[in-house]
Amino acid sequence: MMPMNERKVKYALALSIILLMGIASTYYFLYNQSVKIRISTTTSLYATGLLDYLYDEFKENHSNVVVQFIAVGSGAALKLAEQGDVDMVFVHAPNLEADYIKRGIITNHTIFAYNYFIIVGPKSDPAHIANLTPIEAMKSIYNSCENGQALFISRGDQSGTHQRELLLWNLSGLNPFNKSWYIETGSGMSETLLVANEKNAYTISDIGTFLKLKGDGRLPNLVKLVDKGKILINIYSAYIVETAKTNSDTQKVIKSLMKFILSDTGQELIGSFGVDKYGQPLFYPAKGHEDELREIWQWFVDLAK
Amino acid sequence: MIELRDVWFSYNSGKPIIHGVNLRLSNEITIIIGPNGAGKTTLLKIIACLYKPDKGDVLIDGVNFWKLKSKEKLIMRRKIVYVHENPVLFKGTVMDNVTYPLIIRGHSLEKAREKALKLLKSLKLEYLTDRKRNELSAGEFQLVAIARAIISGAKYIVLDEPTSNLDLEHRIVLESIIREIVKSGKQVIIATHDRLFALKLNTEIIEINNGEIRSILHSKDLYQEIEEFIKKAGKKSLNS
Amino acid sequence: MSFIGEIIEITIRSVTISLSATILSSLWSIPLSLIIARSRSRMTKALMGVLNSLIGFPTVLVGLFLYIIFSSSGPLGGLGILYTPFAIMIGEALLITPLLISLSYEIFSKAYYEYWETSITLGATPAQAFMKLITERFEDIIVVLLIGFSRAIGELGVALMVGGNIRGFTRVFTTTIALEVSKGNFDIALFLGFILLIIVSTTSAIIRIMGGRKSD
Repeated sequence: MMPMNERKVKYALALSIILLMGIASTYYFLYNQSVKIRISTTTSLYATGLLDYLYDEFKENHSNVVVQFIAVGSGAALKLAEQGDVDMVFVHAPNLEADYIKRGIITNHTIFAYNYFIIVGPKSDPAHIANLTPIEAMKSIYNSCENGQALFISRGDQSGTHQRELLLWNLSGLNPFNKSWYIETGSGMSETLLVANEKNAYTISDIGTFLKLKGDGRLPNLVKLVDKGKILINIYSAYIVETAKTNSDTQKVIKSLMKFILSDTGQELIGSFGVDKYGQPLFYPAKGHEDELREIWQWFVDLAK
Repeated sequence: MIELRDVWFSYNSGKPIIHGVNLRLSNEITIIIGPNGAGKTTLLKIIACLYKPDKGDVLIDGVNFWKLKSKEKLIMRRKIVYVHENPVLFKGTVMDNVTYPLIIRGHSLEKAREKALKLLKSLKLEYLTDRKRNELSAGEFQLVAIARAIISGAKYIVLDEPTSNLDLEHRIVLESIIREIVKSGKQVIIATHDRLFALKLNTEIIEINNGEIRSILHSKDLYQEIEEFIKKAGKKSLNS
Repeated sequence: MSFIGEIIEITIRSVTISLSATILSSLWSIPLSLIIARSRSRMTKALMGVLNSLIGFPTVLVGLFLYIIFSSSGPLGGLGILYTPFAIMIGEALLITPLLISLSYEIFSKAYYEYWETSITLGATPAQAFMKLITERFEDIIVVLLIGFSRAIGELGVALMVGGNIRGFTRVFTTTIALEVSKGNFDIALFLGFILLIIVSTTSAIIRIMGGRKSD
């Protein structure tokens, strides 16, 4: 390096401050150019890529709009709404949602898609759960685990998937906690599936993550065993946040985004998403099943009470 | 004149290093002697207004330094310059170092260089002008640091153990430099444990120990002390 | 945007944000460390102890703390910087402050402190003495800043909590890696990790080369 003297240091200092301000103002201008809405969502939903996919389509006709997704845990997504940091919420945890609706934080409940949670397990299926109903399957897993023939892996992280698992145990009238065969990973879906694969264990997953990892050949030991039953239905809802400090521009955009998601185009996009990659859709559009889904949604809320 | 009135000082609010020192420095040359750890360096830094006493006043030409506003402090501080026992030189050449006090006082580079060259010539250090700090001997290093202090124009020049890095040849140079400084109407305050050097400067000597003034002597007093020492040492070596 | 295009964009964004954060942090960390180094008080040691223990503070807690402050319902919500690159920048700047202060304190508290005293006694104003000190220890300070940069670019908690990992806006290396892992895209995550490793190890190579340099 060149020998330094005070003058050079002063230049270096001035240069770095100018650089700092330059970067700051560039970001600032880019940032203030467009109408911006923020949506908090659960990581599992965001990780499928559906939301970015929908947004890219939406942008075609709304080039001045910037939609920012913030992917966090289910609980955190709603918490952000409560804090007023987001304009919309996309979530799949009915019992939590009901609480925030009651408190007037989120409104305009809109069910836009659904799919099924799946129970996956080792190919050999020691608990023989294939084609059983979800509740019977849980009972069978429990018995087989108690006999030392199987293991169960839980997310253990209060995510939407974890909550559904807890509901299933609850409805089966069983208590797996503190059992040696009940392993809580406390981490995301991918990590949990990998653990299940390594240990030849049963677990509950969302369809998207499972298909993705299965397609990549990372889950050679796991297969989908149960994927039907009302209790496995996973309902995705969109809400408008009341506590957000929005202006009329953003409100307009929020309305048109809601409209777009429920439009024929939007619903078709949802229904076809992932088919090219996984050979089957990851989501089913809500259109045509609105009343039914709303009933099931309410049923979940009541179940959790 | 620099005056210390009942000065107390401690590091980290621990045991006092300097206790209750009263001092008036009015001679052309004042020497402070004392064993290692006596508080010489601390006292010098208090005199040079680098350390603020916990208690007591430091008066520079009758002005109470630590009661001044920061702008006035700068003006007063520029009257005193302190040279460390192991001084540091800045990056760059000897010229860069010697011009520094002038540059920070707002002189143009050209004028500063001119003045610096004149000073280095008068101190017979001209041959060092373009050397870097790692190209100097320990003695040259010390002398350059002293030259840099002199050029600041300070009225009071405070030297901490200036002879500790010097060989005989450079000690002679230093002595003549000190005499030159005094001739130009400035005042020198030196801390040293080098009694021979103190003797040669022929002036008032303040002896301190444990942060207190033990006695005020004169070089002559040291002469007797050294004479006796040599006699004893001589007898011993003759007897053995 | 293409895959490669997006990765380049994330790389540029990550480096820019973390570099700005480092510069920003140095604006207060270096003067503060000098003040601490100059102080003779007994509090200084205690303060340095606290700062040193803060170096390993969980980043996600720093993130949470800043989230609470920057949130619309928080004390600084009005600024509207939550979920912007500024928020990450400020967060990282705060995150690396204890590290920068601690490391620069090491530089200033040793013999180098004499440079300050020397400048002052030669008649420098505090500002001039500060400049002199920075000049004398320039290489060391750059090394400190690069260490701070490595820490900033490699942290996840703050970037995730106050940045929000928004595509094309606040998505940086670490948040992308976390997202790709949760998607099951381990190959992409590993590739990004590899780029991050290159950046960090290049940085530390520079640190080593500069640290090994004897100043003239």
